[in-house]
Amino acid sequence: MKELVGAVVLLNRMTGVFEPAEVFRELDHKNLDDFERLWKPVLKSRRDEFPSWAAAADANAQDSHWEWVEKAKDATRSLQYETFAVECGGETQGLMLVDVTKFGRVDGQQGRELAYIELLATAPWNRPKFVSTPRYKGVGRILLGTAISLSVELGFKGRIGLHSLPQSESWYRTEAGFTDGGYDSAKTMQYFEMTEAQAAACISDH
Amino acid sequence: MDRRQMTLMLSDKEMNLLDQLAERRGMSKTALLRQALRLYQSVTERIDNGEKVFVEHPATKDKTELMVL
Repeated sequence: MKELVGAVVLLNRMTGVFEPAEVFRELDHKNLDDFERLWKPVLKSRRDEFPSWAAAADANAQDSHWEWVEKAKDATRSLQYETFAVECGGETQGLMLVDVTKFGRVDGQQGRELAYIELLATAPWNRPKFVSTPRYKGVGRILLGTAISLSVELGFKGRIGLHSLPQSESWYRTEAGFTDGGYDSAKTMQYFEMTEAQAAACISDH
Repeated sequence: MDRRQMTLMLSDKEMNLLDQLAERRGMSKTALLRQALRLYQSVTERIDNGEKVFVEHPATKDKTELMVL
């Protein structure tokens, strides 16, 4: 059942005003409806403007194929997955799917339990390369913080991991403070991991 | 999140193992048991879906299939 995790604020870039937002654990019908009705059509439309997935990455539309509805349904019957949503202004601003049965790969925490972020996305209207004037800033960072909190709650001490889409690699590496775990040929994506210390720093910085 | 309580009786051997694993993994005993349940479900579902779960020796690369009865 959908559960309120906490109250946060998001900066509305258009007005310069911080607006109240909420983080929820487990997606409900409203979140999935927002994705199908508000996110998916514009993501797909934008994706169709480009000849390849790589080209679509330049416009932040590379995730148009993610099937959130199916993923969320899987999550409700499995202990393996946790889903989260950020809501603000009456709409779903961000979504995250976390696999809590993965293990660390980087030196110092190889084989240790971690929360693996399988999918993380902010609404298309919040993406700098997707629209000329993005609406809310900070959705991704709030979801990252939520994943760290989940990791702590489960006894994983804040350890998290993820594979990054090409357009986000530098952000995870330099802004969020992840350890670059190298290119994963099986996933054809760069892998990143956050240690306990990095997670603590990430949380305290923001 | 709704919680339900149960009492778990463990043998000395089981409790000693739980203590050791919890210390080694740096987790509480409760967190470890919850994680064990998640992993058991994950492995069971994969096998139910026709997938095979292997353990690979790091040096020889020999693979042993994990069976869940």
